[in-house]
Amino acid sequence: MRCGSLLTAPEGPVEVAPPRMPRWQRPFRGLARGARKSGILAPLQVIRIPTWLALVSSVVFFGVLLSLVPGLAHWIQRRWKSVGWWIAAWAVFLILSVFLFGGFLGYLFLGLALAAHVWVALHSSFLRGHDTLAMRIVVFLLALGLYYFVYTRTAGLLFGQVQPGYAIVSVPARQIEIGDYLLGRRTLPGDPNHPRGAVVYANLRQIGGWENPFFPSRYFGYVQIVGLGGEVVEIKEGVFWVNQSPLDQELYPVPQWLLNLELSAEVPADSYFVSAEYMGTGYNAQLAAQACILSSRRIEGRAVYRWWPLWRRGLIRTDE
Amino acid sequence: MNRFSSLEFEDAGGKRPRKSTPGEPVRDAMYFYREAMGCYLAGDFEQALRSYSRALERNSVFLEAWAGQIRMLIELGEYPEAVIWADKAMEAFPNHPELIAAKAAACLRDAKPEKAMGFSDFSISQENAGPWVWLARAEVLMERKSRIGQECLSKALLEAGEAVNLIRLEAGRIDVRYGHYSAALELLEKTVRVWPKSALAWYELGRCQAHLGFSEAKAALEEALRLRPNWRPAAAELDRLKRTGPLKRAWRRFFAR
Repeated sequence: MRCGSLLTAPEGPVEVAPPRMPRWQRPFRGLARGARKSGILAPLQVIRIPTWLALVSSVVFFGVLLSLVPGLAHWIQRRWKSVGWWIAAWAVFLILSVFLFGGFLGYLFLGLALAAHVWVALHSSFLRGHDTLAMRIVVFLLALGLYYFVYTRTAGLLFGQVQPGYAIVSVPARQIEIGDYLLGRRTLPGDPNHPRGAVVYANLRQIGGWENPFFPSRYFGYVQIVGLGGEVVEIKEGVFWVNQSPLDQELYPVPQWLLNLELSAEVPADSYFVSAEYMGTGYNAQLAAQACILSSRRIEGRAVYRWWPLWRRGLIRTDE
Repeated sequence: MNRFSSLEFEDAGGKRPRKSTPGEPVRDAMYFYREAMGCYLAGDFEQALRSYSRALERNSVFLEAWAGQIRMLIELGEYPEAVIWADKAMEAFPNHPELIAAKAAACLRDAKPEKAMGFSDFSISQENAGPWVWLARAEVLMERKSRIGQECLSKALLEAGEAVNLIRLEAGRIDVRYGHYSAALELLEKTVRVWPKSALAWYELGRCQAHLGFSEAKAALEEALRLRPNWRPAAAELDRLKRTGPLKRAWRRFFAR
């Protein structure tokens, strides 16, 4: 017996049955062994792995990859209990982030869910093996970036037909205020079937004058359709008139910037006259008409749900 | 009672060793250890593994049983499991050279010679490196075609003490494994003289003699089959021997080492 060996009986039951190889693995292991013996795998061994890459072992790599499904790597290794609470926290954060999506709290909970997810993937593999704070931070951020990419792609797959956006029009009859976060259904550009009163998601590039390449969504927003193609839209004494008939002010309120204008415009066949609360000043009747007439190709979705604020959450009915 | 005092397995065919005292034997760790050794000498590695496990059930700090389990896993070709189990054993026996040597042997059989050399180096650097450490070292060196391997086997035999018969058998098996049949022949002949009821020893001797072109190989393999009927490896070896033509035997007789 070696001097210094521990000879006291350990506390609790000791596992005495060794792990066994599943029979189906025998031929595969034999093949791998044969490959190693014959040197088929030797060319791989001469490739020098960079030091920085060697820090990320295959265990870590597959751990991170498998943990895209939170807890899968731990479940395979029968260590699920060690991350059970983390996965519960992740699920709660994710549900809250979806429920509150569109507001500050939604983004906060999404960030927390992401961080919990990355922690589950790394804490028992990479973070345990590397004590350097800088290295831990770098790997954590890299994994965060990877997982963020996966989240956005997954969200794209799951909610690809949902078009979120902010309202830039106020419609009291439909409980829509400027700045509300609305969810809509994507529509094909050029769809001529939007009804009057529909709140649509549109590219309002004609207002900005140019498209900001860094913030392409800056001139997008939900606006209301007032006039259809071929109709004549007028504003008289603060009321919309279409083909000489006045519209309900509750359903079709005139934006502040158009109130003082006497406007009359014929809507081209493939366009809509939309109402939106623009912030610009110095419009005359002609410029205002140009700003309000929108080609149907610039409409990308129709609002169906008021998502934010919470207390006004509900369906938007446009068939009234 | 020491652990090798009862290794005269008169019925080493996987059956229980006969007891000199009447009545039911005490089924303690030593009882199952002896049973495991009997199974091992009969070439029944699966049953030996189970008996080692049962010995450990009685005494979980029984080093020989841990080491025996690892060796049986290696014999059964379950090398990664052997390494895992050696790590498990080292929880109770930290850095024990015999366990590290067992890892070296497992890695070597699994075609990972670099790892095996690393473990072997580490095991030798420990205090009290025993015969199993030198056996593993010999195997690692023989894999590299080093002549020092034979010296390591001699060193293992010198270190063996009362386990000399077992170490001799293992040394002979290693020689056969690496094609050193002449060296193995002497070791295995001595082994069968000491353990005439060991099917494993007869089988290894038969293999060795067959490779050397000796006509006695047939008798040795038949003896192994008589001790353990329907033992597949022995039957296969005998069948192969029967299919070997006289020219090939003569070639082996003159040119095999």
